[in-house]
Amino acid sequence: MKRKIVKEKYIAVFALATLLFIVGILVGHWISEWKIKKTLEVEKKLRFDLLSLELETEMLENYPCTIEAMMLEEELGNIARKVSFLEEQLGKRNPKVLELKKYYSLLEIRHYLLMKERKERCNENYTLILFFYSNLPENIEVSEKQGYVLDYLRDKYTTKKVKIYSLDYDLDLGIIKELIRIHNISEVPSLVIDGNLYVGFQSKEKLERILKGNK
Amino acid sequence: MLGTTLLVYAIAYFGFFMAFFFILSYEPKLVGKDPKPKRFPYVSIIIPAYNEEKVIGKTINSVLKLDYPKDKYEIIVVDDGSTDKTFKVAKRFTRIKKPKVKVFKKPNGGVASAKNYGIKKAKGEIIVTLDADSFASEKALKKMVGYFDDKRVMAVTASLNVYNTKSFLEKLQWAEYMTGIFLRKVFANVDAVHVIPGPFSAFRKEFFERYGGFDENNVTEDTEIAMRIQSKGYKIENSITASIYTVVPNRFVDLLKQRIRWYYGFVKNSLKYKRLLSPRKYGDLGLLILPSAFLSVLFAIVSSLIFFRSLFQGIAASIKRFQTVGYAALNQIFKIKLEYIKEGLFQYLTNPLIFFIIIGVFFCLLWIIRAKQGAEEKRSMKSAFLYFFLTYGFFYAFWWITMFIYKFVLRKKIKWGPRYY
Repeated sequence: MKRKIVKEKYIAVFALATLLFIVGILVGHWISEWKIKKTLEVEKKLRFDLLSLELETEMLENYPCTIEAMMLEEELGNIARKVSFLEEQLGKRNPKVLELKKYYSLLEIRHYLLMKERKERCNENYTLILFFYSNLPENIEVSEKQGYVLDYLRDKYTTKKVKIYSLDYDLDLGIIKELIRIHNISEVPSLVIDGNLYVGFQSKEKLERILKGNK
Repeated sequence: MLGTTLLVYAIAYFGFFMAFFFILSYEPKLVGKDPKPKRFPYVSIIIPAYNEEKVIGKTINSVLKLDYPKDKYEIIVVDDGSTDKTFKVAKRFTRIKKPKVKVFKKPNGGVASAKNYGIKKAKGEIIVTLDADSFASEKALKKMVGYFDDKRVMAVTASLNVYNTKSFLEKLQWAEYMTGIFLRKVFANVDAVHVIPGPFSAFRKEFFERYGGFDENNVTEDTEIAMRIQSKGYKIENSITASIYTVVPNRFVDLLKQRIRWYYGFVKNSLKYKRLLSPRKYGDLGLLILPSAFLSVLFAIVSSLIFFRSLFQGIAASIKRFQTVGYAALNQIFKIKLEYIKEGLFQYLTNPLIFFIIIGVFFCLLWIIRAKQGAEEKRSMKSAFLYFFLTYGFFYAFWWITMFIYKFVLRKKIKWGPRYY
């Protein structure tokens, strides 16, 4: 006993489903574009912040020890989080993400240099840590582990006592390559704590001892 | 990430395709317009019962109240070797003469054997099987009987609704049964009903006489009979307004056992009737409905596995963090600032796949609302829908995976009635 298959129904269903599906893809595409636009706005703000930081450095020359630069540290934290979220959504190799990461790294290093100057000039006793990490498959796990330890330190001692600057070893940025050369970084992860190099993973206990030693 | 995205796209397209097919096959102008019967055939309502002393009285009472000529139907209770007072409770009703109530006791042999026993004792040309823990609404029989005027119709199904809707599990099943009500009407419209639920389904006695009764060696005899009727080229209809209320399991283990039995039965019967997959002979049933049933199981399992893999990855990362930093890691959890949460929410809500999820929820809601209207369900289903949308996929995948492991990996037996399958 044969049953009819209504061909027109299947064609209509196919057309409707395809239409809705295409709309879905377009909406998704539009959302991604919108997020990238927002990222570029963040980028613009970053450039302003860089300029502002340059000015602050100039002021340091004339009015040392009174510059706070506290606001900028919070901004750095916010941007770091935005960058890692974008890395997850758009992928670590996305060119827009890499651009943002470079601006962020520049800001970080500027801030580091400013804090370094200030420490020497104004006799502050915070510890400066440069953290070189890598996202390459062979290094990412131990870099992440080191990251967790540093997060713990930052939370425990706050940015008043410990200032941590994370730099991607593989990022194609001239200033990072300079720092790698200056401090003789050969392995990741590596830490430069107040100018002293520590190669490989450093445990929580070891780092706390170093910090206490610095006091 | 790419693999997951492609999988989501595949599921989304499949979902849209099926959703539009169902919507175009629903035909709301037919809903509520059950054909008026040209005459009232004699109906035998068979109630197989095993240890149902608590509910059998209520069930028989609901059948006595049916709006149907009292001299045109009889009630046959078959006690399948109960060890409690089921027989005694049912026997009290035998003094009722209109409709006639007959009660029989037989040695335990399983639900199918009890139904077959009842069929042999039945004198009606229409046989209705009713589970002992289910209650029929008054007008149910009248609404279903008219479909038999079409000679091709061998069975008519009703709208299976849930009686107990208080707990989380009960509400979850309630929403599920609602989508079942919608789908059964759609399937009937395209001649593709492949499950006839136990509670209150009507059959033409002639089919049993010609092709034999229920399969007593089958763990889900209601799926088997449906597929058998389809394979012989007959029609199975559905009345969405004929509401039947059944008691669903409210304990996780009972529900799991029920689903293992159902899904195993579906797999076995599908294999037995794989000839139904021919589009030429069986139309939409073979071309779309049965294959989509298999696909949806596959999709549910795969997407649940992927979800749990990412969940475990997240937990593994937390454990690693814990191992590295110790108890101090717990402090970090408490320090989560509002900023982080806002940021996280923003990122996930603006995921490009959000559109598909919203559309999926919309379709689901549409089906449930349609079913609610068609079945004249007045109780509020807001929380049921919420529980369903948030968790059903996982339960569905869990039940299927458990069934496969239980039956095909561990090779354990399912006990159903006196038999093991």
